[in-house]
Amino acid sequence: MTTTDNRDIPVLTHDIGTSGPVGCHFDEWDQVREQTPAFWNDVGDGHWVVTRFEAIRHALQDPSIFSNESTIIGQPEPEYKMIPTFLDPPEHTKFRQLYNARFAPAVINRITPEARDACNRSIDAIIDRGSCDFIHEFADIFPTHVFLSTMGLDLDDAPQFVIWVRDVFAGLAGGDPEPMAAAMDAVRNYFEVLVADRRVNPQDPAVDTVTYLTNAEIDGAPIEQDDLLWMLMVLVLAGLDTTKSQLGFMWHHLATHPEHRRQLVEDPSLMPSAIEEYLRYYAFVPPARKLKQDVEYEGCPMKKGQMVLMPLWAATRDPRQFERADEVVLDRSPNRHIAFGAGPHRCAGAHLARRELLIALEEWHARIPDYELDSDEAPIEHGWQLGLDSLPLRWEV
Amino acid sequence: MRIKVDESLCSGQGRCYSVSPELFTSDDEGFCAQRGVAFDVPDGMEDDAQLGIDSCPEGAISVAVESEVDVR
Repeated sequence: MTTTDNRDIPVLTHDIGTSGPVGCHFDEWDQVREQTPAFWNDVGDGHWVVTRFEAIRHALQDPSIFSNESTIIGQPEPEYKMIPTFLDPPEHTKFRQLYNARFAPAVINRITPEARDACNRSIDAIIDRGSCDFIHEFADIFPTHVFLSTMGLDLDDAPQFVIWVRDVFAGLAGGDPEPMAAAMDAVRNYFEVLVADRRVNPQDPAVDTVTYLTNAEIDGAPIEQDDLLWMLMVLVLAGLDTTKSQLGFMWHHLATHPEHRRQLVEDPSLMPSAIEEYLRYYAFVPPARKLKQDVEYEGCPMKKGQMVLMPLWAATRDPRQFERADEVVLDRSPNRHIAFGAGPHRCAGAHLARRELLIALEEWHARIPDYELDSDEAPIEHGWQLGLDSLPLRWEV
Repeated sequence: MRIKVDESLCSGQGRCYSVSPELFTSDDEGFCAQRGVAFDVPDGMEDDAQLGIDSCPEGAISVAVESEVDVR
């Protein structure tokens, strides 16, 4: 314990990096939240954890104390600068505006037909077989195609992106750091080549995100090359593994809850509220912030420079905020979950993600309304940014 | 009924204009187009307003008092 306080501060050990059967992290944190509103987590160098909805939301909304200077628990002093992730307002706002306009609902409407085609291509590839690994054959593929078309990139690059993203997130989840570093370099090189090309051969900025960003200005000047490359890298890191995780949890739930599946197949108008509920129930992102000043928070003496972890799955299943918090209620309304975070760093791709999830639910269930787990063993849920390693499904052909 | 959308709290979650599209709309960046102002809810749309208030993940929408105009 690094505080100088003499009070009894709860010190617990909850490593979010471990793997276990599907649902294990959610169950664990449903208990931790009821045990204490905050604690010092004795994992690695140690950090604070806040466990309840109101306090997590408030912290995410207050960058003057809970700063984005670092969002990586083990790296309070990172040697690189993820843009706009590691920025606080007002600097953050300038970069963020460039993304907001790119991912606003009206823009998402434009790419919907293309996304629907991408979804159906992914289903075409597996439907006649009567089985698939949903994670690797659908959840890896469909969001990557949508990402590439949203960015105006070549769809032929999809298989390469799938591998890069897999290696990066395997590393982040505690796996081999070498393929992760290699993949980060490869993504950076990929964009370096593209940026150099677009500076000479600009494309339509309405379609091509790289041209859009090379043309963009912050405070009247072009974006610096390193910042530009990080902006593109952040889109890759934020846009692909996330949608994959959510799809995996949803399809696992639907495969094992035929009554919910039938409800959605019979009444697709339920799908938008069902998506919000799955986002709430399986909020898989663990944001972290760095303390900018000393603060007494949730009964804990937090010190400047320390890190604070705020697992969103602890917040969105808080019974203080949600009735029947531990149940999936497909038509829950209202549903003020914060699965996309809260405050200035709220997921910029939230509107796109929702649309992808809706398209996937609609197209898949129109063509494969009945399916089940193709394994007697529970799928494995990995830690950090929670997600399923694989999800074998089968259906009648 | 008079309500207000706090400009500093609205982060563009988009729930208000999804659940009550006749009362709330999106601006070009995905924020609530009504952020930063207080306004009277048209008669008969009080339930839409309440659903917007209850659905906002940021808690940015709330009931305003008569005299409130600008909530920047």
